[in-house]
Amino acid sequence: MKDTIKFTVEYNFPVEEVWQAIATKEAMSEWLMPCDFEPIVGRSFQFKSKPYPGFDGNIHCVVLELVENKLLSYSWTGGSLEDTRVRFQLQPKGGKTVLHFEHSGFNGFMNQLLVRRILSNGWKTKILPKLLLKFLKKNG
Amino acid sequence: MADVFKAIADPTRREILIMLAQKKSNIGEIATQFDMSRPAIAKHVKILEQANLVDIKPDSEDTRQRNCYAQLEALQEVEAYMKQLEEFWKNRLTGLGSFLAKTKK
Repeated sequence: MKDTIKFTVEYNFPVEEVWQAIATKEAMSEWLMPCDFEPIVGRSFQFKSKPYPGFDGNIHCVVLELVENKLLSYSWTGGSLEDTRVRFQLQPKGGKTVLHFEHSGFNGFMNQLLVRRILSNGWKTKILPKLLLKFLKKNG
Repeated sequence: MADVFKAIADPTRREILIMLAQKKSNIGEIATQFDMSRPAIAKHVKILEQANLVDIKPDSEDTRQRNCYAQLEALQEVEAYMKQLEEFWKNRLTGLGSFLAKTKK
């Protein structure tokens, strides 16, 4: 289990075009989810997705970082997630674009160890809670 | 599901959970380990219980005492959720590629 979701994807399009797709309302609404994004740091916006029990379908965001053709990040709160962070970083590569994508900030708790070790090693052993405790004290 | 994330976001609750994973305890016993009042601890335990991370049962010998047990299966839900989220982004980023191919010819 990871504490950050990360992807690196290469697109056969120049950064300017990829930027337009990740940082304009119309494009985002098509490939991601309908939204009212505005490219202004500090501005709030929302994505509207399909509601299901326990989730009203709204994702609340605030633009955190914006550097044209390079970097866009926004907060992501909705459903189970509170104040997580989505980040798109673009890197030109000879007319193509490498996108470094990250979704992070799962409440610090994604102390991967907490979950991974508990799940894979069985948490009933004596050693494990000690390890966890040490880890959580360091990271908590 | 939402509760699991929130329940574990708090460092005191994480410590309580780890304490209980090692040994069942009642509220009073937990409170002695933390610089906090019993009601404050009870509140934390309640949140853990609502998230299905802690189970509370009366003590078999002294039924006035209620024992708290760690119950960490709920964390599996969290793991499943993360996998789902990862899948979501993977699909959307692929969708971004299709979107580019469609609109930027």
